[in-house]
Amino acid sequence: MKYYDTSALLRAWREGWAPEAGMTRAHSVAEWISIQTGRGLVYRTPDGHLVKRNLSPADASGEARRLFAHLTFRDLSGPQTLEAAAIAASKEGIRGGNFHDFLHARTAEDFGAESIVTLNLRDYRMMTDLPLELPQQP
Amino acid sequence: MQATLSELHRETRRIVRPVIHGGEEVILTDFGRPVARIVPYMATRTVSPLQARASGTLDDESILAGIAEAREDEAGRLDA
Repeated sequence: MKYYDTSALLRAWREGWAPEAGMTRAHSVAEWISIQTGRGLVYRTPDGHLVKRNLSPADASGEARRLFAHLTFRDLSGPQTLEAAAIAASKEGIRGGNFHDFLHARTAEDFGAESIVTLNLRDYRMMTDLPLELPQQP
Repeated sequence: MQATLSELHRETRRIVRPVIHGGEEVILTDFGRPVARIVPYMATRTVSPLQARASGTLDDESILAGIAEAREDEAGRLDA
């Protein structure tokens, strides 16, 4: 089973598809909703201008329901998260916002994911030996 | 909203956040006189999912930056 992180799920949504199977953390929903209803995302218009767009909470909620519909939620327990923090402390470069990605990686490993689907190949390479792949419509 | 240069130096996050998140303008003052203005670079517009997708292309860098910013916001709320 593939593990989808938040970046992959934002890409899937933009391209108008949803994973048919796989796993993710419940926190991915929080990140996805937070981005879509908060600062929003920056799009490049056909004439090259940058525009920032976000969604209403009602729209974001509906879109998330469709996007996450076929994903299984897998989450680390509190003690597992603390253990992840200890492991992160022994590695180079896992700090600040990166720790969220490390928790994605640990969750994928702990629950036996075959690969991690993400746009953030560079950072995940430092965090896991699992195969990494870019999101692609099934 | 107004802020002095000293306030901007001491409390950058508090001064700049309303610009980024609330679309507000901040007038910076020095010795009581306005000397500069901070304005939002890009206003966020709330649109339907269909309109958002039709807005244009969405670069991978933009998605990753959006995630990083959201995480910063979260950390900022905890700091506040």
